[in-house]
Amino acid sequence: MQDKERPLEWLKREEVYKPIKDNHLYIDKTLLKLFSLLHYFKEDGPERREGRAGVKTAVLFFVITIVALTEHSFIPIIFLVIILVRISLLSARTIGIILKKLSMGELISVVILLPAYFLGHQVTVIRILLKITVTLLYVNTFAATVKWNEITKGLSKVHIPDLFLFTFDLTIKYIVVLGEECVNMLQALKVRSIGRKKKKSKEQANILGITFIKSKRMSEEMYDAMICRGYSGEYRVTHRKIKENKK
Amino acid sequence: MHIPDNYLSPSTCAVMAAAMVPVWAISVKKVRLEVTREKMPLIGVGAALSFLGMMFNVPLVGGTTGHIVGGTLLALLCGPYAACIAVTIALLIQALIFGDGGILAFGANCFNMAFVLPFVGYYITKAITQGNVSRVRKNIGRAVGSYIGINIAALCAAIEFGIQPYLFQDSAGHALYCPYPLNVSIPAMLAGHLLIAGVLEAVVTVAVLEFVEKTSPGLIYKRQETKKNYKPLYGLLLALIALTPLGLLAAGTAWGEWGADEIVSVMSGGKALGYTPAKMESGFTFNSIFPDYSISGMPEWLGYILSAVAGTAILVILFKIISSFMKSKGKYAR
Repeated sequence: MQDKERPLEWLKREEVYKPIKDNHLYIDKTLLKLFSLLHYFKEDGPERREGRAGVKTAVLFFVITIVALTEHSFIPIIFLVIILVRISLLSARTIGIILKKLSMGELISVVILLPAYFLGHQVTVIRILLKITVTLLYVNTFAATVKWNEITKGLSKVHIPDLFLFTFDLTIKYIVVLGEECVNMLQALKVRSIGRKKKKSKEQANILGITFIKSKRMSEEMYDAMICRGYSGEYRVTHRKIKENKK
Repeated sequence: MHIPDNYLSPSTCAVMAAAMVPVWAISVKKVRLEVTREKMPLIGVGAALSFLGMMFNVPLVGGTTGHIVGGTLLALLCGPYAACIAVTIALLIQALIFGDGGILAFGANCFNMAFVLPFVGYYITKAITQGNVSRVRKNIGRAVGSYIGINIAALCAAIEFGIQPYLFQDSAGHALYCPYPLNVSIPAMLAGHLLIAGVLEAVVTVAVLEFVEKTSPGLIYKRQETKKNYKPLYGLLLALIALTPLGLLAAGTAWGEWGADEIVSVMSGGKALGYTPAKMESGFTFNSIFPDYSISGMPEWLGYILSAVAGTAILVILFKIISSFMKSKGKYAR
């Protein structure tokens, strides 16, 4: 009789469990940053255009070279006007991305050049800053308006070595793949933490470690797959366009 | 009508800037309430129109030059508060990047061209064109509104110039800032604006509004029609950019925009000034990227066109960024 009473005792008791407020801030911030990174790499919006990747890349290199070599001020200014017109046609979001990247580069450059400015080389400093601005604007606009695979194609047409192209291509693809793995792990961490863990930032090392192990495993699998598919040491970029069947 | 640096004392500049702070605050609040993200391109186009209009110098009486502002035009297109913001931004770009109009005098320039001009012009036009009026009366209202608007703005600028010699003199009795008192500055500025620049402002306002009425009447402020097409306006901007070198033809510096080296020999009332006001020689200086809309190492007309292109592009970029902070009116918004 007594055994039947005892189980009901704890059923009659009031629920007194109040979970301690857990700190999800770190995980949420990291998740948001990862998501925006992944979105940036996966995005193929209407502003990322196909076609003429080789020309675009060649123009980019040409502009950077000319701007770097010139002594006159008006040449960078002409290119500045051209790129300003190009940027004014982009969407507000893309403009924001370009300007944010520009501002980081400018800040670092200003900090480095500041002593020279006060030592009397104002004209040179202004000219260097102008060149840096023009170059950064061109590179960032290129990055924002050319599709990722087109960037590789364009670089190949400018005769960049194959190994570099291969590494570049894989890097971009695996940033996305490994980024998604990180997202999964962070979400698992967030969902599974009941109770309080004081410093979630210590998990950062763990997550990175697991990502590293996964990437090593993925690279071995990829190598095996490439061997099976006939990889012989070359990396060729296909230049064929698959044409639409317009009927 | 741009007041350069060192023509107004810093105290005058501070007073004018302080007067503009509430105007800006209220305009920003009104624009945030009224203007949705979809309407922002119109304000950006308006700012670009105003900017380009100010690059066309027309010869005025007395060998000086002036220009249109288009403040009333903007007010009739987007409302007076949005016009205030648009002209302010155009003036900001001009001051910072092209050295047109002083940095310290920015508050005064905005007071004249971004506050007085659009509001006076707008309310006078509205007073004349109340209700359902004929096309002719509408155009007369717009012409009269913009004419009076720009002349009142010129009068304000003339007053700001004219009180300087009375208030700020050095021990020799020479003016420290603008050396022309009210009895010189008011006739000088008003003559040019009453006779030529005001007329031009009226003509341009009416012409552009007629153009917009024909091509996309839905763009006009508080119009209910739905035909909204920005392409004709962009076409107008491109045409203006291509025509900007015409603004170089009118030689001569505008009244009140002389450099420190020129003002010594400026004739007024039959005699040259003879001295350079002290603060103009040693006052605040600012070196912009495109000083006076020119690029060193290039022919003047090419520098002018490139400046126009750069200014328009920068305005479009700025307004796109601003519009991303505005709310967008979806289909189901109340």
